Amino acid sequence: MDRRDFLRLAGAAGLAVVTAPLGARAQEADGPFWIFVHASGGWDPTSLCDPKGRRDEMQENPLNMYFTDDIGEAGNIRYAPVAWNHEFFQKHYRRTLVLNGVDTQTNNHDAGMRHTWSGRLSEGYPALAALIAGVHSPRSPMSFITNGGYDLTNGLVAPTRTGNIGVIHRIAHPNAIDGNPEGSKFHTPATMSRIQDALTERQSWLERTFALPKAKHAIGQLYGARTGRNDVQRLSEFLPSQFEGAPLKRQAQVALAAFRAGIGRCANLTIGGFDTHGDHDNQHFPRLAELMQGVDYIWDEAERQQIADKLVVVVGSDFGRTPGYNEGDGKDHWSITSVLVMGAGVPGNRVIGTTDEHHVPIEVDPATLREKPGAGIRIRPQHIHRALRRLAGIADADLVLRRYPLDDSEDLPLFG
Amino acid sequence: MRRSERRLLPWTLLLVLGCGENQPDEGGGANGGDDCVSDMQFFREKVSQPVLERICSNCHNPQGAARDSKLVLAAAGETGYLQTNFETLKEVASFEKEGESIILLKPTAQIDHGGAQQIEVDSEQYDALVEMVERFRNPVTCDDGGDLSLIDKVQVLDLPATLRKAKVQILGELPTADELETVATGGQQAFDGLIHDYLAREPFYGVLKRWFNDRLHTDKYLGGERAVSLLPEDQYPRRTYYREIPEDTEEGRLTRRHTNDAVAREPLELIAYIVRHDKPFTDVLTADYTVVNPFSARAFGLQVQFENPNDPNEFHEARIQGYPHAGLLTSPMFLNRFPTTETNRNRHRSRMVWKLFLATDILKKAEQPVDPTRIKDHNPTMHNPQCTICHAQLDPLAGAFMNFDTQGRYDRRDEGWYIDMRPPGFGEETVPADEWGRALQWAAKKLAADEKFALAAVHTVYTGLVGRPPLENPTDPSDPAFASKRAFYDMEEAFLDRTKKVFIESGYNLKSIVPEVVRSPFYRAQSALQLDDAEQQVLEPLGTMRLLTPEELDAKLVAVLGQPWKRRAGDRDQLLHGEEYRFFYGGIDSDQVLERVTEPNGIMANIALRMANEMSCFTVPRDFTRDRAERLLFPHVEVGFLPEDRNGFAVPEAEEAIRRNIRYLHYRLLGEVLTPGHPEEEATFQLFVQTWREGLALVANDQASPELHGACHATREYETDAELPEGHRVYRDGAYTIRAWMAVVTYLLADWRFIYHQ
Repeated sequence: MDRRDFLRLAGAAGLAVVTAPLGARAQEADGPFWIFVHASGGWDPTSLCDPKGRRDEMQENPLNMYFTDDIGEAGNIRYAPVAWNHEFFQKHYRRTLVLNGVDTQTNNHDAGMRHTWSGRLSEGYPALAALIAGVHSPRSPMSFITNGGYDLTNGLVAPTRTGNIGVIHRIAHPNAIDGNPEGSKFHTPATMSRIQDALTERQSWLERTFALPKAKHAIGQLYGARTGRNDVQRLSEFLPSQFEGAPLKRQAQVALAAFRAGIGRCANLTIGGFDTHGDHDNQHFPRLAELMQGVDYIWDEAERQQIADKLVVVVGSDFGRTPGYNEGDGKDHWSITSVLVMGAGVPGNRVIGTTDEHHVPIEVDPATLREKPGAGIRIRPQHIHRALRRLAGIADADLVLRRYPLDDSEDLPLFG
Repeated sequence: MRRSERRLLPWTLLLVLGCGENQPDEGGGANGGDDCVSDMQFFREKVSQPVLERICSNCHNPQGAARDSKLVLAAAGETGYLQTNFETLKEVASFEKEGESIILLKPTAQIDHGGAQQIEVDSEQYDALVEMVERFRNPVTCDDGGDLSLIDKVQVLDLPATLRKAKVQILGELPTADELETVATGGQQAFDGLIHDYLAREPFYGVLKRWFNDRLHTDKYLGGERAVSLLPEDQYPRRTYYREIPEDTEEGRLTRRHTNDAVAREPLELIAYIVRHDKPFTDVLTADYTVVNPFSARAFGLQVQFENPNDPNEFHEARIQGYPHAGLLTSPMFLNRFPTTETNRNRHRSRMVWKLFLATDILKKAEQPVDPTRIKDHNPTMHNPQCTICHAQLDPLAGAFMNFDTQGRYDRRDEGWYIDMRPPGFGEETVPADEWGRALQWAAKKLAADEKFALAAVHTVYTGLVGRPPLENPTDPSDPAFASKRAFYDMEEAFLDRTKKVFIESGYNLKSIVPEVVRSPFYRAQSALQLDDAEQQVLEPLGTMRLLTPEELDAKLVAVLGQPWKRRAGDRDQLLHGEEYRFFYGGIDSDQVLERVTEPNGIMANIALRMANEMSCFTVPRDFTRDRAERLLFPHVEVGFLPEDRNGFAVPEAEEAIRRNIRYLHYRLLGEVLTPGHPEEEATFQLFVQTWREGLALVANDQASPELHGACHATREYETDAELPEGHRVYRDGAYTIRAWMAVVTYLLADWRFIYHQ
């Protein structure tokens, strides 16, 4: 009996043979899908959704140069009258939950990024995007798309990085000479199938030959990646014909096409340039505008892809920036920040958490979320992650409870 | 000296005993034996974690209440903290009162102790300190290398296989038959000699630069004028001299590219130069020169004599007049890649020097929560413990960069450094005022003399070869895998420490590290069949099995197929070009994307398969254009060798040649030695035969062309794209053997063994 015959018989006998779960794709296409947008470098919430401003031109050491009278409002959300905030919040306030006064407990970039996106200040926890993808769609070929930022996976899921989308057809159809599935092939379909069978049959021999834990893991990685290989073809069906110039929008296009194709679950999108230690307003506001235009685009594109009702978008940064300008008109690192959460299951037009005139958080009652100075708690990334995990339906997953429990922080009703 | 009778954690025992605790004692004196527990092991298991870290370090730390005492402990997890604290405790333990060490008297409050009583007499912690004091008085050492005994149970690659692996990785070439024979007969000494020779060859320096760029990321500035534009124009008025050459000419384009890229790679080229010329690696920080090629010399305004003024690969030492060179630290590229601001005051630069060259990530200390909203101190970086925990170490070296401004310009500060910061220096030492003008040179010498500098160099080479950085010291005893992680960490640390000593003894010759690593089981581990579950858990990190990076896969294709992934030499390299598969396949751009993807996903699996398809298409027909003796892939067959005759009967001679070639391909492409009749040979043979049969029938029924697809035609030279003579062109395949061989080569190129390190 040759090896292929053995596998056929094994399959017929009901023995375990690794294949992609048949129902997986349909389930994944149902969402919800998650996009995490990272403003890299530490954004300034007082220039966005936690506005302070200055009374007049005589005010010394103001937090911002705009005037308090100019602070905008969209529903219950107040925003700084700079950058592209007005356009963004007027359009999206109904789906936006603002979390202000979030204490990252650090002013170190690495630690802040880790805390914001893993819910833990110390090292070792995967990004929430990887955790959700790892629980819900570990074998999906683009389950976790990352464009940088904090993207530790701990092996829960293979991260996918994107490049020039122009080559995606060639990637999707590796046996098609020019990437056209209807065109000429390197090998006949029967031969290609024969090659893939032969590759599959080598797995057990390889595992015997390289009998080290790491080798077995590595062999399993490759064979696992191959199981969802053909699904990549679906991505090319949903990619737009024109790609946007702005990097954040382009990242969104790929992520949303992968979601629509049923091969993606979560994506990390990143935009840099927020670490404005000098000339803050002139350097920071254009980046904020590009960020908010990018988030706006996410929703437009999600509508076009018909998945907006299944999408959750979380926007955050390493930490905040100091309440006031330094000698170079810049702003340095400040541990207090804000987070925006939008989309499916998120009660919008709402602000939770406040800060005082120096951008110091005012404690909140963990039950009512109302201000409770001196007797309440500070909102920390752990609280947000606890709520996000619940929203994502992974809070009670064995993997999450066993390997990545959050600390004993309170369970805040952030999403109602 | 004496031997300990104490037993420690099970893993420690296992590692020490190696062959089991019932082995007869062949200790031969004080050093070694089956129950030997070294002083350092005892310190780590019984004293450091349970006593010093849990109790003493709360006050006895550089910022703590007992910071002015003799017992100031380094934080757990800091590089070398165990050794540091061991030495510190040993020194303090030597102070006695009435014959009793003060490390027994103070924490038990038998004499005055600022922190009052912390430990009960006769408690477990006290007993541990008692034995530690005894060990300081009468040291216990164990057999050198005992810590590696578990790893020694692992089956490693033999020397010829190791040579193949190392040569492909270091040079991007397969070993020759002579080299394999030399190693097979000459053993370790012959192996070392060959590795030594490889390290003298130029491709190694390309690999070396990649290893270091993965840390420095100065390749961000390659291309365009990205690097040149960062040179301050007032200091380098000739930086864009090439603009005098019309840029629409080949000379203009090349001159600009060679200039910019030599400036961009100044730090990496300096590293390569130092290693190539067997200079002490400490020159990386202390050299009073930089290196330039004929193009960057002009941009820097330097007069240097070159053998070939048009050779971009000819680098020479050079000194910029009045510039206080301190190796790569004063390179404008280093200073720009790790920029600073008016308020940052070079702290970022300091942090990166600690991280890159002293194997210490200072900001790991900042993982404890800080709350700047409650800090009310005047000048908190000087006075608030939440801040000083990092700044005490960070700021002196930041000050040493005092003469380099935010743009990396040399701008001497004769007025000195900020008075609200710690003075420029390194560690406990301060830059003397008369050295301020060359503060960084002063600090560089101190840095290079620190043993952590040698360790950092070992880490970089080890990471490059093994494919992962050394494990960090586990510090969380509540982690269920703590003991096994610690056990592996100990083995690895012991190896790295020994390698560091070899490196230092070699006069800091970086090449000395490579043979140590490639000889080691950390590089050669292949299999382990006799381990129980617990042992397997300890050895989980062992082995070099990982996905090849785009650069490594590219080099491997060149090694085995004679060309990278592209049809013709003038085409884009599919794995390395940013507009092709480089980023999809996990590569970096040294700018926004700094971490490589090491776990394959569906996209990467498809790219690997496409690579296998395209490369078999490009190279199989081309190999048949060559005379058999010159072929890389098919030295044992011709296209006319058919496994069966027209009646379906086997043709034994042809079948044997085909099988022989299959075994050859398994070895050439995968490094896999198959004996005749091996099941893997049979599997590949069946793939060949079944593909051939299928194709032959399709051709006979006009369902397949007797010609190869145009993309696979071998009618032109790879390098020159010149047309081949008619008799050498290969494009017809009426017998369908070429396509059957293409299927075989696709199969092997897509295999785990090809696209992964083993």
